[in-house]
Amino acid sequence: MRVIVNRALCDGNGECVREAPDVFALDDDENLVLLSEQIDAGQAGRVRLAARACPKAAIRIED
Amino acid sequence: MTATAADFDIDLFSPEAVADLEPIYRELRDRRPVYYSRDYDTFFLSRFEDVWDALRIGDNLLLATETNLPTPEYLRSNHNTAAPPLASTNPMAPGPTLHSPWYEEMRAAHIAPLRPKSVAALRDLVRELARERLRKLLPLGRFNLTMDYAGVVGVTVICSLFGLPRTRAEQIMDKVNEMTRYDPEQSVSLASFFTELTGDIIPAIQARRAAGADGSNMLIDGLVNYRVGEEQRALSDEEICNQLVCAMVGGIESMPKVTSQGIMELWRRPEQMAQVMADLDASLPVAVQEMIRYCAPAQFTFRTAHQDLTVAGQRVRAGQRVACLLFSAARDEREFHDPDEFIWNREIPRVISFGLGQHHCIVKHLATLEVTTLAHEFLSTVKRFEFALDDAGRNRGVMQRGWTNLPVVVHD
Repeated sequence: MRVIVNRALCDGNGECVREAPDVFALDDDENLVLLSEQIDAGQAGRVRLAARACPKAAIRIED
Repeated sequence: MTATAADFDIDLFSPEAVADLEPIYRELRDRRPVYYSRDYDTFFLSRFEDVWDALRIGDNLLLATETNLPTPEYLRSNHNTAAPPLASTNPMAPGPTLHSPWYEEMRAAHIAPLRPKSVAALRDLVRELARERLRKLLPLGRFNLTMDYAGVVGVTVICSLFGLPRTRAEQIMDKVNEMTRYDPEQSVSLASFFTELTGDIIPAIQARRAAGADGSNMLIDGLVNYRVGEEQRALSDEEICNQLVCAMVGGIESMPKVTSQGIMELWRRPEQMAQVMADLDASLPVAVQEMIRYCAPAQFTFRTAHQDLTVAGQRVRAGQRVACLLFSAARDEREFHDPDEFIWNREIPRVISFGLGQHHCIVKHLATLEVTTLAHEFLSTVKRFEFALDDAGRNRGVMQRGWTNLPVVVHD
């Protein structure tokens, strides 16, 4: 499964980092760093929560 | 499915409705969760889930092309037979009306100082301003908690972000509040915000140009240095001003109402106040989330459909409008148990009060920091106080509803 982030929409709110810190991080300028584009089934649940938590609706998962 | 039944015809902009909106919102949520107004050619969404889903629709399907805050007069006299034209990018139209990718370009060009870490660095400034304000106000014995305390601090922080002298602060605050007052004779238009605030914002832009826009004020420098498209066109002062109005108004108008009413709602509930005061540092950030849910003044946000699409199970034609009733969503019993009760530590799994999606509140982190810091300073400094509610004044605005005047009487 792939995580797709709409970079234009991302504001650097960081809700995703809270939900799935193994997939999302923020650098020193508060820009999103996608730690892993490919995710396994174990991570999918947390990434779904991150997608739901993102106030900009910037995250989606593709099979 | 249109609500043409004679027993159900609601004008959400009418003085009668505005005077008592909560029962109307409940009625809509229960009986007409997608309420079509033929007058306004608008579908009103009142339930949390529907507002949540609708605001998260992207891809230029639902845009605030006709602004997110149109007047009822505009809505009545402008019914679109097709999608309206997209907002102009030359000159660059006011930020809220833009579409992707331009909306995102303009937003990204000025959001850096409003991100969480940058905002956290403002905590000391906000605390100092709060303390300074309390030193001036407490000897008076009685003052307007909304404007005299929270409002002045809020607009001073905004002046600091814009690089404007503090001497402009109270004048700007008065102007913003004048613009958002409720006048049954004449609705406030978003366009008027832009016109009115130009005289305040343009000097700030010109000052940054004179300073070489070297990045030391990223609220404005990013827009000064931005180049549009292949031709690499620079933005004019007016175009830049048109992108900054949201940051100015957003940082001034709503936060003071949430702060003062939030403190008041705790005060009215002594048991809850005692629980919060038992560990103010740990409890207040939690209580602030409930203050936001309960007190955020924004009633609605509009979008225009740019294609035929389905929203909340309803077919919407290109050109028609969808209005998300944010305050109704925040009081939806389907999402929040006992929604009309203020419960300081209730579970709030999803926050709707700052909007969602493309237009998610750009000053959310700043506003949250300010509410928390202002409430913390007041509650830890003032040991005995009460509110003179008989003298309080609500601005029952169509767009914003809140306590513009909350007199607080302080002791020792």
